[in-house]
Amino acid sequence: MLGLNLSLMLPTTLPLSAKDPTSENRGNVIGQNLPASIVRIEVTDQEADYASPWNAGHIGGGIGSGFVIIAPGGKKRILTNAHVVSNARFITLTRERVSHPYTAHVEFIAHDCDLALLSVDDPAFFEGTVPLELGGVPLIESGVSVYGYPLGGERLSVTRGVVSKIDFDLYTHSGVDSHLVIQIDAAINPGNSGGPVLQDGKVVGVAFQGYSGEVAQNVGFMIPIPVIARFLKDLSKGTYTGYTDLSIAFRPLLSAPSRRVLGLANDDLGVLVTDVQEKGSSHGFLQKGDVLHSIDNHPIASNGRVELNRESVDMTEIVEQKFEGEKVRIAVLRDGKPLVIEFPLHGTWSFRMQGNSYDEKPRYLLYGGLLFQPLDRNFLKANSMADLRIKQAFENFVEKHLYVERPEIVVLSRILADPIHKECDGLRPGIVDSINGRKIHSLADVSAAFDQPALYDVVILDGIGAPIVLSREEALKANPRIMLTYGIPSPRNL
Amino acid sequence: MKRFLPMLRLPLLVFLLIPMGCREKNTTPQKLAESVLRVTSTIQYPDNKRPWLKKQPFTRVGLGTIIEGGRLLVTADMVAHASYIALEKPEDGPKGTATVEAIDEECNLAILKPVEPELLKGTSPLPIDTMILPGSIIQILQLEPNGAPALSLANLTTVAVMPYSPDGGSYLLYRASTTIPQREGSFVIPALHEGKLAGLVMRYDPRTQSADIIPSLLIGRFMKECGKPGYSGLARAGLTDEEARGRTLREWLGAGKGLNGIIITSIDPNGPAEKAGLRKADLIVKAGGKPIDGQGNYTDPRLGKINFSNLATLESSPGDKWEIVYFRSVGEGTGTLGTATLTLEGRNPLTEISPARLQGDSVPYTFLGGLLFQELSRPYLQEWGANWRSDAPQNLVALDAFQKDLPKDQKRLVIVSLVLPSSQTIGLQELANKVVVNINGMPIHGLADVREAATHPKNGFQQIDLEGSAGPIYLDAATLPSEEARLSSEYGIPAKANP
Repeated sequence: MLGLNLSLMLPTTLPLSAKDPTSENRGNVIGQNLPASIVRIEVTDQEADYASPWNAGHIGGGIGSGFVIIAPGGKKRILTNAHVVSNARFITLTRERVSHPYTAHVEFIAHDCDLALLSVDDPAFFEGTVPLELGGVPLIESGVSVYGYPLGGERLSVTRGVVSKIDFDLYTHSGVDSHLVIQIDAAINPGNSGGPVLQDGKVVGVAFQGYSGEVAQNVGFMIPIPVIARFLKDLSKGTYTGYTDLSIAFRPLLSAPSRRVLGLANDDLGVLVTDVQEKGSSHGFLQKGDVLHSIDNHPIASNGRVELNRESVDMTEIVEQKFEGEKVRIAVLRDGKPLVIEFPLHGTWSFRMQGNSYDEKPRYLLYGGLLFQPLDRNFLKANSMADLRIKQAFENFVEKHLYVERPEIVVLSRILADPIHKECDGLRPGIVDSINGRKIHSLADVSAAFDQPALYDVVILDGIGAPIVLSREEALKANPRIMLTYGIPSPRNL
Repeated sequence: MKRFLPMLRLPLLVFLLIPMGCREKNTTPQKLAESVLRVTSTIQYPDNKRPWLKKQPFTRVGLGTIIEGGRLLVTADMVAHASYIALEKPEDGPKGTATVEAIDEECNLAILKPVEPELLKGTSPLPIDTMILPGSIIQILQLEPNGAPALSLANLTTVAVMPYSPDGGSYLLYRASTTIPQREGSFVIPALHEGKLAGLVMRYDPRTQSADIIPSLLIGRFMKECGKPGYSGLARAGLTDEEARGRTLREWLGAGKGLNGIIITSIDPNGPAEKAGLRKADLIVKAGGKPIDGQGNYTDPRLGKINFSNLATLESSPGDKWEIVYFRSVGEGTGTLGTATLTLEGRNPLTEISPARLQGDSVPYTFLGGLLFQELSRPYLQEWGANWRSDAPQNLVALDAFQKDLPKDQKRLVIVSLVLPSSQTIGLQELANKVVVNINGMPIHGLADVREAATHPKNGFQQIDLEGSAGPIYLDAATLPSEEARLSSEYGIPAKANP
């Protein structure tokens, strides 16, 4: 009895704050229902090992938060962060007043906006739960409450703060995507991830990232409703496709001479296109040197911002709200002539290699003790590469359009010592230029090159004078020996 | 050539310690002190990021060795970018000044000429030793504060071609194991062998107790070459190489038994090797008539195995012909032997796209409005500090590192090194450190091109096209002179351009 009373004590503390007339006057009602809506997520995950790509990876775990919503289709689901359930092998959910954990599965996961939707295997879990309603974008300085299970606690925790800033910012989960982010000054700690941020009883965001105390304090970030709503709408068709992108580089047009040369009025409008990516939506529609004047009839200011719902936002926000195949209408000034160009949008795959990837098995090919891997962020995190060429290829992959010639950059990452290399000490990792005369544009090319009949296998690396030469006969004999010695179950995962 | 201990290129710290050098009883130390002068040089490096400025001056104190012709020998580090060089006789003697007669920062040697000849009265030049073998005991000469000589013994352990600086070339080097006490004025100190100059100590690592000494052999070659007109460095072939590793590689190359050799990994554009027709991936099997082994060594009758680059730098003069026998493989075990005759050259800075060293004491630049233009160089990147390879702008680090891969006709690269904010350059700050491709439609291959192109504005505008996705910059040509005048007075820039 005593224990029960204590657990009821938690919501009874909330009406105190509800006396504050400025916010959350329904706090007591919500407070009582919250334990029925917010869940604690315990995950066992297995992070892929890009240093020994044949290994299954390190088994770890973590705790996050999530909450019950009505998913598209009317079913109850758990919304949480993608990073809470990335690489998950086993997921259990608990909530207060429920004695045992329930197993759950990832139904949809969006690494580009750090959101995931979980289904629960036993529908009994949802009995007595109250789905939370999605609200809107809160006003600056308005109060919000963050709910979740920070720092591994078993009991629901609440922190409060105000909305500090609403802006475009990086989503560190992928490390390459930027969307709308709301900064709040409520404490967000590990374990809060995926928990709801509420205002007036409605969800206004999902807590997802913060700073370590050494960098900044009282700074937490949440994923706002426009991003959540887009995620839910995208997956309502049965699969999650992801964001679309213009894939252009543009520059503000602030200086007076630039504006005069381009024949622009002194109206503070327009940005200059300085690059168009070949694989992006704008290719064939926009050109270097175009001045963008408006996007979907929103005038573009010279600093690249547009007005949307009476807020000044990055012009990318217009594209953010669109789905694969939807069209965008852009007014441009090209060679002094106004044009209106309409074209469909799609995502850009070439950025992905620069971002963190999850839920994937590392790809590799092992031949004659030589380990070949595609260059991407996961690879670089696991293998510190001193080679400047490798670093440059990674960083310039998109900016210098390297992907046009080489959709994939293959690296000879490691040489597993074996008698066939006994005189080859000092071999260094490098970018593979060609193998047996075949230019290498993907890992599949490596496989094809070694499948051709040959007396010798000749691997040429970028910028290195002497090729690596193996005798085919010896390499074929060495392959099973090397796999046995190093405990490698399979020589390749293409 | 491949491996070396990364030692600090540091002076022996300027400190006073209790003298504890091991004196050699059977030498005549007092006489040795007659062959050195204390050299104090006031050094002021140019600021490569703010090229109209010079950095804070500082002093280095070392010992200059008196050599034939009434001159002094020191390391180049001792006097490079010196604005004033003072000389002093060890024992409370007369003082004077000196000028630099010859300097080569690559091999770290310089010759000084005293302005006041009377300073050399009563001194005796040291003869240059011609040969020391590994295992010899040499003496390191320092001076006590009162001018008395202090000698430490050193055991010469290694004679090999090793890098002189992290970014520079490799030359013959002595490595000796010794304890050199910290004494004032030891930035450069001579090493002696049987009363002759064995070399100059250019760095000492107190942790491993190992001293790197510029050998007398190299000093002798430098003294022979540096007086020749147009001297720009010791002879070089203009290539880099690495070992041809592995039996199967050798089989595939097809060079056959008895031919060892080393593989060319890169060739300097317009350098001697390129002009003689050598190519990347050629296997060098003989140089100057001497067979080259798999590690790139020839066998010197006295020194033993030494990297073959020594045959150019130490045994030859710029302008000498050098025969290289090479094997050019087409793979699968076949190829042909060939002979190339190189005409060795000193360093030619004009062929370097991103020069490793500055020529002279001032950094060239040009302003156009609030934009500062400079030519890309290694010293510019080194302004980012010891970790410049990772801290400096990476696009420029890559251009510097891979300059040999750039098109053959590529000349200097001009960058916008600074954007001073003004009404015309607003919003352009992030374009700093991008390479300039064209100005007013003219391709830019050096600062001279910038100045020339700037005199041809198009429709009243200067159009500057940058590399990559930066897009063009436009400046209003008519207002540039007044803007430049305003910026130079506000930021204290004495001249719009240098030269």
